[in-house]
This record gives sequence, structure tokens and C-alpha cells, in this order.
Amino acid sequence: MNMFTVPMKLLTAVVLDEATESVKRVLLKLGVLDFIKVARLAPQQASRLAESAGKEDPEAYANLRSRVETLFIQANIANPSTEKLDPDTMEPIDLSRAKRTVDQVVEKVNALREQQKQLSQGRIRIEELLRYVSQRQLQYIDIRIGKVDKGDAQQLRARLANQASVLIEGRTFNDMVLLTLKRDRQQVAPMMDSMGWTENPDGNLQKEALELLEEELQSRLRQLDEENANTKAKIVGKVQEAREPLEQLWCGLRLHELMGEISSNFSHTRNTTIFSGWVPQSSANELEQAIRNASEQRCVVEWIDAKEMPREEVPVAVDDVPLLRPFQKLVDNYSVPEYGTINPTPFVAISYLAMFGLMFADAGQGLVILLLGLLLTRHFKTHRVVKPSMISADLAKLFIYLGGASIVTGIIFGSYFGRPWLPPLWFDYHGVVVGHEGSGRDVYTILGITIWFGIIVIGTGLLLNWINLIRKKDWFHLFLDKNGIIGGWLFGCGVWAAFSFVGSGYSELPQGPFLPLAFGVPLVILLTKVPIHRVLEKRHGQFVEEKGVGSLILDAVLEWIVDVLEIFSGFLSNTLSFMRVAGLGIAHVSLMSAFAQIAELAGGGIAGLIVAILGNAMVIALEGLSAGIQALRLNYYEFFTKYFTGRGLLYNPISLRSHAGRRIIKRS
Amino acid sequence: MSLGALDRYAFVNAKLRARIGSMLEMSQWEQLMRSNTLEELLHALRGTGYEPLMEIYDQSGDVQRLEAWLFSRNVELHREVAKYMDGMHSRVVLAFTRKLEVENLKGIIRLWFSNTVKHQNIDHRFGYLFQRPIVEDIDWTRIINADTYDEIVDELGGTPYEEAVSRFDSQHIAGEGLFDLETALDRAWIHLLRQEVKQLPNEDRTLTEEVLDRDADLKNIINLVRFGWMYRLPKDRLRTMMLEGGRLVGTKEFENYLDTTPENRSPEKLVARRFPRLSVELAQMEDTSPEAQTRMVERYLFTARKQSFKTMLQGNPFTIGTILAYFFLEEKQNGMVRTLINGIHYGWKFSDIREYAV
Repeated sequence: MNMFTVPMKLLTAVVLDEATESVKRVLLKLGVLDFIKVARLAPQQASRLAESAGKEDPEAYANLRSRVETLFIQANIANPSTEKLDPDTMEPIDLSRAKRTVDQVVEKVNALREQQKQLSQGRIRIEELLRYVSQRQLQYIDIRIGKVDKGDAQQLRARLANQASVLIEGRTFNDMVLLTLKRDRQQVAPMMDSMGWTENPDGNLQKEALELLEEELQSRLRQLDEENANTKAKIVGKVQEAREPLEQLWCGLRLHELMGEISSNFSHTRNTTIFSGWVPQSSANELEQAIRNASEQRCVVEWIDAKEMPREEVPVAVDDVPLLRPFQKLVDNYSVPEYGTINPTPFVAISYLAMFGLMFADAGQGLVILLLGLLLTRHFKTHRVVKPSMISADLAKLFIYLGGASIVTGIIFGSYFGRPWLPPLWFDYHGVVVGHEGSGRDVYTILGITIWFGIIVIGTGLLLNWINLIRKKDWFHLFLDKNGIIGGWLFGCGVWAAFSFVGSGYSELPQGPFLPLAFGVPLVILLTKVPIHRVLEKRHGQFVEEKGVGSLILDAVLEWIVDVLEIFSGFLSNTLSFMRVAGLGIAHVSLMSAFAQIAELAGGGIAGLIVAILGNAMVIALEGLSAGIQALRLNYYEFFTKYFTGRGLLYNPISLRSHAGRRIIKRS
Repeated sequence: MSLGALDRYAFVNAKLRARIGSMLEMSQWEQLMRSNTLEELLHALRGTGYEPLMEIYDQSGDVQRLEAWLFSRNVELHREVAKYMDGMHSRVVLAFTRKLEVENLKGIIRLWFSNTVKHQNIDHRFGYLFQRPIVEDIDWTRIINADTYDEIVDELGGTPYEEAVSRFDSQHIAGEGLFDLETALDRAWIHLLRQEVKQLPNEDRTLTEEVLDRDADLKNIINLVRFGWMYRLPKDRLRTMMLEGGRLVGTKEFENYLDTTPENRSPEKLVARRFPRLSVELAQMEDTSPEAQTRMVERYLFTARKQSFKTMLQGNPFTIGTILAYFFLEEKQNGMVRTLINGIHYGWKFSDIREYAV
């Protein structure tokens, strides 16, 4: 695994026009070229170059593809795998015909949606009637019991189709029971008259009728729900029927879309096609060979090393290590590292797991999290996710790691669901917190461990920063930046002085001339930062505002004060920030102790077991979430700020792979 | 800024700013407008506060249910903000919420009118209206099922709308329609709002009154153009339509406008002193029809409001400004979603959707 970002090379190639299509196919198949506009490389020549004629409009294909994907989502079908995309077997697409195919399916779906709408409106009618009937709000309804002389129940139902109504016949009594809304009387009454409705004068039937109506309304609602479910199933069915052609269409559209995107990055002269882009060094030979083969050797291919180009223009990719993918996500969420700098992912993996483990040290609870992670991972493998959600496959994998970390630290500190079932490998964390530990350790011991942990993390961050700066040959910042050697020197001195102070019983700092020299020398050197910066800027030809000596001295002093304050307060606060690791670990133990006591108070046995289970569940959920968030914060703020500048440009090749656009590449 | 303001607004300010931060941006709206089907639009709204719309449409296929949900969401958001405040500030927020209550009331009365007065079949349409309490405990069911207008007046007895509705009787409603009643209801809720706003501390009161005055002026202008010029209503009717507050009503320009014959009324002269820039824009319009001029004033109102709320969000966070800005932005966002839903469902052209939505 490459510890740094993947080395890149800039390709510029010229091929004959007739070879353009085959070159496009190989470019898409390989999917390693992150295009740049040729005009950027040669702005003076840009006017002589024509952009692609636009045979394939990527937007039109993307649009139609989006419509197909919407159909898939409705039927819970995942998009076809990118493994099915093969540029070599790509066929032309008649867009208007393709649109008609999609339109046909959409029309069928819309027809069913219309049916659904009717059912929805029917439901609204029934719900209102049911509300009045069940709450006996009789002032809003008309209940008629009787019969019609002209026509039958079916005809009556048909006439009342646009009214909220229920008609029951042939039940307990011979007459029909008709329920309508009183407010619809103006429309209903004439209809009843025209059908020769005769009311049954027996007022005692009303109560029985109400019960019948309530039953009927509930049955209608269930029926409507069933019909709705059937309609929804039909919608899914209509899409499923057209699944194969739609999937083929999707693949074709996607290919044409990507080919269109590639075309849009080409420039043309009368007979040639020119293109340029960034390629990982490891893929350079393969790509060049593929271009030469596709163009039958009638091409010119030139390479420029990334070192010869401005760093900020070089896209950034990192090696894909499947084991580290969940941590890659954490890094991606923060930013993109600068080209040529260290890949933070492996360091984040170690620091994040260590932090989480220290905050959530319990083997039993860790096992639960690990098992949860395994279950979720299996679920995601067997159910291809159509709709994105908060719990993703990567998060599930992260649970496995976090669970593992907790198990390890749980064994080290002897905690199993808050119980000391086995002796600890190091010391009894639980005992230290509650005051039972026999070796004389106390809470300050735990605080001390986490402070040391913080010092190691910050120190590692500084070291990584120095490595990055050496690779960038940025000697100025390497020596004089607050995260440079001067900053590190002061941090180291600060740590030494602080521990001496604590060691002396908080009474005195180290005596002798060493301490003043150790702090004084770097602080004096720091005063030279502003003048040296001005000299360097002038040497690089940058504009430097002319200032008098007094003004320069003032600038230097002010900047020095700010730097000193930032260094001292920043490092101090960053280091002390790691005490939260102890805080959360102590809180974890305290919660488990509390639940243990509650379980005892509940009398043990089944009740105690239930309390223990619920307690553990709550701690896993709350403390686990807390620990995960705090570990992330420590990484983002205390660790990353030491070395991760995040000014990188995402490596975004046009590729068939589903993670096209992500910055990771697979080494073959 | 007092400790009281800090204590009062710290939480709600953070909460609402987080929500404002997660509102959809223009680039996202442009994407959404290009949706070909309603399903595509609703799927694209996943991960936003409008995510439930997809499930509702999937269950019902009913666009009107979507609109009903949007209204319901708006009500819940208002009530939630009111819960975060206390005392007079909570009352002011509820006073703003009355706008929704009046909108709902007008909707239900219109349905009642169609059914009871016009004898039209309203079928299931009541089911789409909000039926739970919003601010007052109004029995909406009783209103829709009222046999007479007097029953509606009776139901609204004891509410702040009692005075407005009791000014009319069945005869007036049957003969003249609902226009005057709806105008009276609008004036009622604005009056209530202004009464509550007067109780606010100085800075909050000034901010809110500035917003209300500007809104009142511009809405009055819209009504004067639409009804005074397009529909040529007489000046007495126009006066009754004027909203409370603002600096336009009672001015020389206003009186001159009313005194002029309808065909000679000039919106540019009306707004010249209060909104000189608007006056210039109206004078420069090629299309001088009342519809075009009304749209121009509406756009001006929107721009002015947007600018003032932007200023509020950039200013002192511990004032009522954040709440006002949030309501404005939510209303705008909801409106855009509603326009998109209807536009895409009914097959409007992209340019038409854009014109109405933005």
C-alpha cells in the first residue's frame, strides 16, 4: 500500500479523427483518465481547436437514464451492475425510440396511479363517514332505511358514485340502509325522489343500522387498502415486466452518456483529435499501449510528470485497501489531501479505533457491536440497497472494527458487560473508577494515560506534517510554522516542563538554564518568520508591499505574538482535549455501575437480568454513539489540523465503475 | 443585547439557522425543475425535509394529498417554533401562525359556500383540508357541515374572527359572495398580529413592524392595482380592502389614486414617494396591463422581503429577525415545492415552471 497519494502523470495525446471512436472506447474501458481541457494546457492555441461536434449529448442520455432509474426505484429494482457495461458491445441508441419505450411504461404506471388516486379519494369519503358514525356525530349524517320503487340497489349506487355514501342491502332487515352526508342533501334528495325511495317509518331500526354501517365502513376501508396494495403491486409488476428491456436501455444510456462526456473533453483540428488528462503512474503504460493499439499506432502520446505541474492542479487518488474502506469514508468526509502528501487513512484507522476502544472498553458490549456489524454487513450483501439511508454498508463494516477495538480494550481492562469476569491484562479500569482497585492507581492514572495518548497523537500529527512539508520542499513552513519544527520543539518542551511540574507536586518548574534556553531559542527564531517570509516572497517574484523598517518590525512582533499565543494555547488545549477520552471511559464505567446497583436493588434473578440487559443496551446505544462522535472529533480537530491541509483536487476519471468519481483506485 | 434576549433566542436561533442552512439551494432547484415526472421530483427530494412526500404519493397516487401534507408541515413548523418561545414571543409566533389558520378557514368556508349556497358537489375535497386545531380550537367539521352561515358565525364565536364574520349575514354571503368576508378575515389576523407585536421589546418590535409595514404597503398596492384598476372597484370598496399599517394609506398619493376614475389611475404615481425605484420600474415596463404591473409589484415585494431577511440573518442573531427570516424562507420553499409538484404533474413547460417557482 502506498502511504502517500498515488503518483500521477499528465497525458496529452493526438490521434487521427477516424480512430476517435475506438480510442474513446478504450478510454472508457480503462476508466483511469481524469480529463482536463486541452485549451488549459495551450491557451494560445485554444482558438484553433474545435470542441466536439456533440454527436452524443450526455445530458439527453442522462435525462432519460434518470427516468429509467425512477422507474426502477418504484419497483425496488437496483440499477444494473456496472459490470454489465461493455463499450465494445455498445450499440447506437435511437433516443426518440428509447423515450417511447420509457413513455409506454410510464403511461401504464400513470394509469395505475390514476386508479390509486381514485381509491385515495374513495378512502377520504369513507374515512369521513366512519368518523361521524363511530363518534356518533349523527348531526352530520343522514341514515335512510327503506326501499326504492324505480330501479335497484346497483342503480342507486351508480347514481351516488360521486357522493360520500354507503348502501347496504340484504342484511339483518329486508330494507336497504343508505348513509350519506347531510350536507349533500341537496344533491341526494332529488336522486332519492326520482328513484321512488320509500322510508321505513320504524325509528328503532336506526341503532342497528348504525352498527351495520360502522362494520360496513370498516370493511370498505380494509377493501380499499387491499385494492391499493394490489394497485401498488401492479405498478411494480408493470415495471418488472419491462425490466429486461429497461435494464438494457439503462446500460446503453449510461454508456452513451459516458462516451458523450469523454467526447466533450476532446478538441479537434481538421483531421485530428486531441485530449489530455491525469493518469495514475501505475496505469500510464497500460493506457498508452491501449491508445496506440486503438489508433493502430497512428498517434502521438506525451507525458508530463506531476512534479512539473503546479501541485494544486494535480488530482489526488489513494490506494484502495478494502479493509480500510470505512476509514477512507471518514477521511473523505473531511476533505481531500494535497497531492504528494501522506494518505491519512491508515493513521485514522489506528487512532480512531484506539480512541474508541479507550472510551468504550468492554469486551461483552464490543462483541454485541461486532455481531451487529456482521449482521448488517450480511444484510447489505444479500439485499442490494436501492434507497440510501443513514446506515450504510461502510458503517456496518465500521461497527465490526469498533466492536473489535472494544473487545481488545475490554480484555485489557477486564470488563465484560460491566463485570470483571476475567482478570485484566493491564489493570482493572472499573475498579480504579469506583475506587476498588488494589494497586494504588486512581482516576488520575487514567487521565495521565489519556494525556499521554493525546501527546502521541499530536506528536504523530506533527511528524506527518513534517514529512509532507519535506516532500513539498516547503522548508519555510517546515521550520517556522506552528506545526513545523519550531512548533514541535515548543510542544516537546512544554510536555517536558508540564510533567516536571506535575512530578514536583505542582510546586515548581525545572530549575536551571535549560528551560529558559529550551523555550527561549525557538521563540527568538520565530521572530525571524516575517522577515524571512518577505525575502522568500520577493525571491519568488511575488508582489511585496513596500514598508518602512518600523512597520516591518511592528508586523514581525505582532505576528510573533499571535504565533506564540496560538502555539501555546493551541497545543495546550489540543492536549487537554484528550482528557475527554478518560471522561467518556469513566462515564461508561459509572453508568454500568449504576445499572449493576439497580439490578441488585431489583432483587437479582429475572428482574435483575432484565435491568442488566436494558442497561447494557442503553449504554451501547448512547455511550457507543458518544464515543464514536468524540473519536471522530478528536481525529478531525486535534489530529488532522496538525498535518491535513485538505487542499486537494479530487481524482475523477470518467469510468464505468460505480465508484467513478471517487478518489480511490484499485491496484491490479 | 440583553441577557434576556440571549436566553430567549440562543436555542431557537441555532435550531432555525441549522434548518435554514439545510434548505435547498438554487442549483438544486434548477435540477428539480428539470424532473420529467412527479416520481422523479419526489425521489430527488429524498434526504430533504420533503422526503415523506414520496411515501405519500406511493401510497395514494394523489397530488392533492401532497399539498395537504405541505400545509400540515407548515402548521407543525410554526407550532414548533412557538413552543420554543414563551410569553409574549410565543404569542407573536402564534399570531403569525394565524395566517395559516385563516387560510384554512377561508378554504373550508369556500367549500361550504360551494356546497351549501351554490349547491355544488364538493365530494371528498374536505378531506384535503387541515382538520386539527391550529391556534384556536375551531371545530372545522361543524363549519363544513353548517346548514346556514349563522352556524359558522356561532362556531367562530369566542375566537378572534368572531367580529369579522359577524359583520355579514347569510343574505350578504349568498348575494355578494365571499370576497368581503375573506378580506375581513385577513384584516382580522393582521390586526391581531399587530396588537401582539406592540407588546414586544423595542428592537424586536421595530424589526417586526418594519417588515409588516412594508408588506402592508406593497400588498395594498397590489390590491389597488388589481381591484382599483383591473376590476375598477369604487373607492369605498377599495378602502375596506386596505390592510392595517404601512405608510401608504392616508397619504396624498393614496387619496388621489382613489379619487381618480378607475381607467385613469396610475400605479407609478401612487408608489412614487414610498417606493421610488418601483415607480421607475413600473414606468419603464413595456407591458402596462394591470396583470403585468401586479406581477411586477409582487416581484418587487418578494425582492424587498428577501433583502430585508438576508440583512436580518446577517445582523444580531438574538432578535426575532431569525424567526421572521425562517418563516419567510420556509414559505418560499414550500411554495416552490408546490409549484414544482403541480407544474410537473400537469406537464407545464420548464420555462413556465421556472417563472412561477423562482
